[in-house]
Amino acid sequence: MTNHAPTCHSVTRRQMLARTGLGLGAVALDWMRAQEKAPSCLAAQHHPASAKRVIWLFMEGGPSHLDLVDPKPLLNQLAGTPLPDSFLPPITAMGEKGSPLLAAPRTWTQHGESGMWASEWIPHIGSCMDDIAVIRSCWTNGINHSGGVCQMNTCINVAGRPSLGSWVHHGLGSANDDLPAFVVMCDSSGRPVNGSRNWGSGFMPASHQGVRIRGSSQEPIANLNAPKGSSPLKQREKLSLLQDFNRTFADRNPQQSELDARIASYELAFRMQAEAPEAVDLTRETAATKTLYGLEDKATATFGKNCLLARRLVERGVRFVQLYHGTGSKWDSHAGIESNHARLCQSMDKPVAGLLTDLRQRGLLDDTLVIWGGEFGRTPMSEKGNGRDHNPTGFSIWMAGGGVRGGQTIGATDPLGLYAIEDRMHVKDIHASILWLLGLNNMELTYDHKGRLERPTINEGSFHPALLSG
Amino acid sequence: MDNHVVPPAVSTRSPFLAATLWFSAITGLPALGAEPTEQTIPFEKVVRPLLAKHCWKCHGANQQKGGLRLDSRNGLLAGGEHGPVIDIATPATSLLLRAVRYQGPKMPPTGQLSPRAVRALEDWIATGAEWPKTSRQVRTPESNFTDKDRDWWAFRPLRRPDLKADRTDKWSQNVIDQLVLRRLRQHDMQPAPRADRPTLLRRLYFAVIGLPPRPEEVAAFVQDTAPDAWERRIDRLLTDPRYGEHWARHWLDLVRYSDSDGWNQDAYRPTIWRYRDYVINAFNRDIAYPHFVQQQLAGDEIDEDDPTHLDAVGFLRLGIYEYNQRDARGHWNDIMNEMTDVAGDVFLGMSMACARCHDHKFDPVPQSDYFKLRAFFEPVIWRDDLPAATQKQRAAYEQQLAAWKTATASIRHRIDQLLKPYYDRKWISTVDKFPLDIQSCFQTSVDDRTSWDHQMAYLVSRQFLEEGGGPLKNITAEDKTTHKQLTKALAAFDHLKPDPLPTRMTATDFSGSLAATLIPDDPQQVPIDPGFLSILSPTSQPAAIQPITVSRPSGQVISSGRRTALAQWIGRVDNPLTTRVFVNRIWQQHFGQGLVPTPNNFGKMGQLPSHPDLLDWLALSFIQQGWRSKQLHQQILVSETWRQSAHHPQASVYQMRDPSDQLLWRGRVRRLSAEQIRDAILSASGELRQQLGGPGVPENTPRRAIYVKQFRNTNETFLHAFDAGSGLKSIAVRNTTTTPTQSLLLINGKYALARADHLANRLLAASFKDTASLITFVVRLTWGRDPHPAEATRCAHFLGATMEDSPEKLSRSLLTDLCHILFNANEFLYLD
Repeated sequence: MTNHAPTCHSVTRRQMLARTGLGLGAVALDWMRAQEKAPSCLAAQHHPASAKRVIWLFMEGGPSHLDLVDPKPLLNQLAGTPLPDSFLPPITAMGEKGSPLLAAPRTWTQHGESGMWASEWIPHIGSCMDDIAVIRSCWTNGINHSGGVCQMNTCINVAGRPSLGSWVHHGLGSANDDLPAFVVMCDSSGRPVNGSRNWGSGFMPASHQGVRIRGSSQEPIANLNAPKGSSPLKQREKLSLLQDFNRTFADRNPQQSELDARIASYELAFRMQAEAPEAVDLTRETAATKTLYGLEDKATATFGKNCLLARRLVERGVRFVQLYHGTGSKWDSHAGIESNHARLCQSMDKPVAGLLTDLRQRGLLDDTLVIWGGEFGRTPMSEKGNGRDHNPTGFSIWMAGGGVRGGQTIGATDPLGLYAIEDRMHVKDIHASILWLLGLNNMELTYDHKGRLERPTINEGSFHPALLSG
Repeated sequence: MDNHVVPPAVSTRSPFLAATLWFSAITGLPALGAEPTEQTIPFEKVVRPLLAKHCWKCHGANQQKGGLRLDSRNGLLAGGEHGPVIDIATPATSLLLRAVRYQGPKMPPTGQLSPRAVRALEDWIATGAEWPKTSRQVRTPESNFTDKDRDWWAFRPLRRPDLKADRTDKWSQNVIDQLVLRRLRQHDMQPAPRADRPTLLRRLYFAVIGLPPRPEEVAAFVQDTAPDAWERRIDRLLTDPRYGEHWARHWLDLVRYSDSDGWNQDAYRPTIWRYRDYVINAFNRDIAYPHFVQQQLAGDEIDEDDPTHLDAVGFLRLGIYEYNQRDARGHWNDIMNEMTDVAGDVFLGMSMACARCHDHKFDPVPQSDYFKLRAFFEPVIWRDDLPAATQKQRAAYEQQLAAWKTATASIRHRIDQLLKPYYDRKWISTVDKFPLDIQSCFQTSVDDRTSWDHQMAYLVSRQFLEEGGGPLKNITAEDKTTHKQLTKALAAFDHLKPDPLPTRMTATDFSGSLAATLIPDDPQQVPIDPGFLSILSPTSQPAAIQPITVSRPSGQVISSGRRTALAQWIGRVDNPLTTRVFVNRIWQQHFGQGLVPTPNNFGKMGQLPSHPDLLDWLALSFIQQGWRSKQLHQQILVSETWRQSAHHPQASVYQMRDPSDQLLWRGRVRRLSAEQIRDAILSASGELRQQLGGPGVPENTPRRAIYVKQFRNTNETFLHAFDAGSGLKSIAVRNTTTTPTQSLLLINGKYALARADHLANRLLAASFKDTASLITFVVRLTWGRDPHPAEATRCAHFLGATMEDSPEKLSRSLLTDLCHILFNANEFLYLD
């Protein structure tokens, strides 16, 4: 047993248990649920939480803050000229040097009571601005997609640490025994940069890793369906034989709670088999709801569906849902940003606004934190004439719900949007803030790995109080 | 000591909490969970090291010149003869700041701090001079190693335990047993009886070769009444080449072996399997541990004509890498740091990574020690141009190649001329994308480069070679036609051309001038020489290093000898860490838990050994017998300790006495590893193809799991579901999870079902006289024992048959289902 052993061996409990009419399976199931609820057996919150769950809309590839939520009039004035000498030239991912500034030919509108700015590419999100806090001063270290996406998920650009969803699962456990606590969906069958490592559990046990759900698939979770040609009756008979064998073995090895846990894991698997299809069944939604998410429109249907699934999952107790939009770095617009972003914004704008509206209508927005953003932003300098390179030194993300005070901006970039200069928020601060809203203190949430207490934000990062109080 | 080893009986479901409470019980200090959270990293990273380095010699624990101590906030506030040295209300006027600015008292007297350092102190005082409240465990710096530091158990020399003959001990087979029994008796406990023969043999096979015994092997053992029946089986299995295939896996976990690059593209590494095969062979050949260490760390500096030495240096190529990284500087630094971390974890059992950013807070490892260790690796350059061949093979190749070159000189010249503009253009565009300082490293001629320049140039070159499309992506139609013709003409000489020599991933030292190793946050940027852990080298002198001349295809070259010096230090008989760490790993694999339960951390944050005397005895005996692993296995496997049953009549009482299960009073019920599960399924289905070594294979190939290509970014595989590592970090103890995902995978997934189908076919093809004998056979095959009568009846019932029925009548589909369930059963997945 290591001191962070993932399986919690409870001696006393086993001894307490008389083998009552409940049957060992039921007892073990109960035991296992306790594990799932508090998988690493941590206490719950460190302070009162304003958010109970998270939906993270991950715009993969790096959307341009300059074209969506961080207007820069100076950029259009200086367009075509090089970056002024007063700016430290950054290392650009694609290595183009001395490229002129590229105008952002947007129409900007102020929205709601707050008068927050949004461009014409996101009119629906614009209409929700009073719920949204835009953080304009984000920065990260990852200069390329792999490092950037890895860092936005794990706080560091080099692989190997648990993703934020794993930390939240570790800290808060699951609120539904029959569904995974940390779910990931992608808007295509493709693979996001870094693949499933993005939702990996790093040095934590695999039970904390994200589970990819394919909402439109016949089998939303891998291996959920019984093998072809197997009837429910046959499955039950097989399971009954298995559990007979396993009980005999457990009886011969009484003080081994792991054996009970495995018995329970089969029962849990079958419950999941029953529960998961219902959770992802959109036929139960009304036409009005479907319209709200843009399901009837080809352009918005795919992501709309994932957003709606996200709502269904959080309603059922899933703790952390991450939706990849533009799976496979589609937001990456080194050339032709106009057509690229116009198309991606269109496919994302209405579903995202629909999600916020739906959550609000159902009273879920109050304690559901919605995060929108990519792994970095884009440069004010052009690339290949009509595109923008990666910008890790200054970009925007936004948050809504979960106690976040909407209708405000936090921090600022310089007048060209290259560097975050005011109230800078590193990825570690972003993670610390998300955890804080969930009632978790990033310095108190620990995991003992190799004798070292690891913390989700690598011992740095702090909550930005403006998110709550403004 | 003794009462420290056994944690208090904590009635909690939380192993985390239990560990924490136990920790407090040992140290009598607040548990770490209660560590204050207000600590600020700039303090640990910058301020504390600054004060430690420049002030504490005269104003610290040993000396308080001017009555002043600068090693606590109170000390600063109390000040000395001239009053308080910091002023929180008006920070700018603080005496400390005036002193370091050389306005007034000039401190430190040896030379003014850099402006950066002064600014750090200013910022720190301006923000309130926070000094993190820390428990007493936090260490003072290097110059202040205490006797207590030096006396930490893992730094003490190995000590032979005193072994008194105990005539009442009828149980012990060897010293292992004597020492285990001694501890048990101290707790008024008795060992469990010996496990039965089928159980023991199944355990033995999985322990030594990672595969189950065949039914006839079990039967033969059960009937073998010879007194040396057990020993003979151990000896036989230890010479079985499948031993290396099994034991290499643990080492590969430790060194975070993977077949792919990691990062985004996660490209397959087509030749890194040579390192994997090296490890398999090293275990099979039972190479003495110090040589095993030296070959991996510095095989390139062993001047022998043995190609496997350079395969072993593949160790230096195992980290995460991707060609497509413009931030070459940061990328290489990550690579070097990670190499250093792994070396500390694997060979020293010391978690060095903490000391990368600041002096280790709990162990006597100052930050400079981290960079001293890194300095051994500083000259390393990656090599892809040293073929996996002996000198003789190379000479033959060169000779044949020369003939081909002569014959094709003019055609090749024309091809070169044709392609030159494309290559040139591609080079320019590749190099141009890097930051200017990196470009200049590349532009410097090899003779003028430092090792750092060369490392940067290497990264640039890999970008050229691997970036999408290659240099000929935009070749004109006309040139393309010409190129085709010329290539065709060249192919006419292929009969003269030698087969290419196999390639591999390896490394050597750069033979030119070596870049200095620097601590990034050190304001003075003092070069750090290679050196060993200060706590173990009292003189604190840099390591004695002799350059080494080695033969390369290009002729004799000089290698720095740094890594050889490191390997030799690690392999010293009197290095207290090395051997303890290694024998503990072997022990852990046999018992499911090491004598030190934190095998990569023998420091203060790790756990104490449960049987320190046994650990030392094993280490000494290992050294005495030439550092041979097989000898160590043998000693462990013949012990009664290892052969105990998992069942103990007193189990429920003993569990209360030893809740963390450390005293070794019974065998442990353990789940098979991911690889063992997969290999055992294939073995039972009859599909497993035994073939030693070679390139990686796709997951569905019926070869042992160790040969399955493992990709760092893909964790949705059968092996990963059962806790195989991802190759991202050194894994010393695998997690053992029990999840519904595993159950879904085994009960619904195609893989296990298809294997069950194979097994059903195998059963139907054999001619069993009745259903009873078929059931007996399949249970033996999967579970390694005879079915109990009730189990056999239950199986027959499931099959809808009677015991006497002819197997021909059985439903194939039901038989498949039965086999499938046998694979799913705990009896199959666990060892008892």
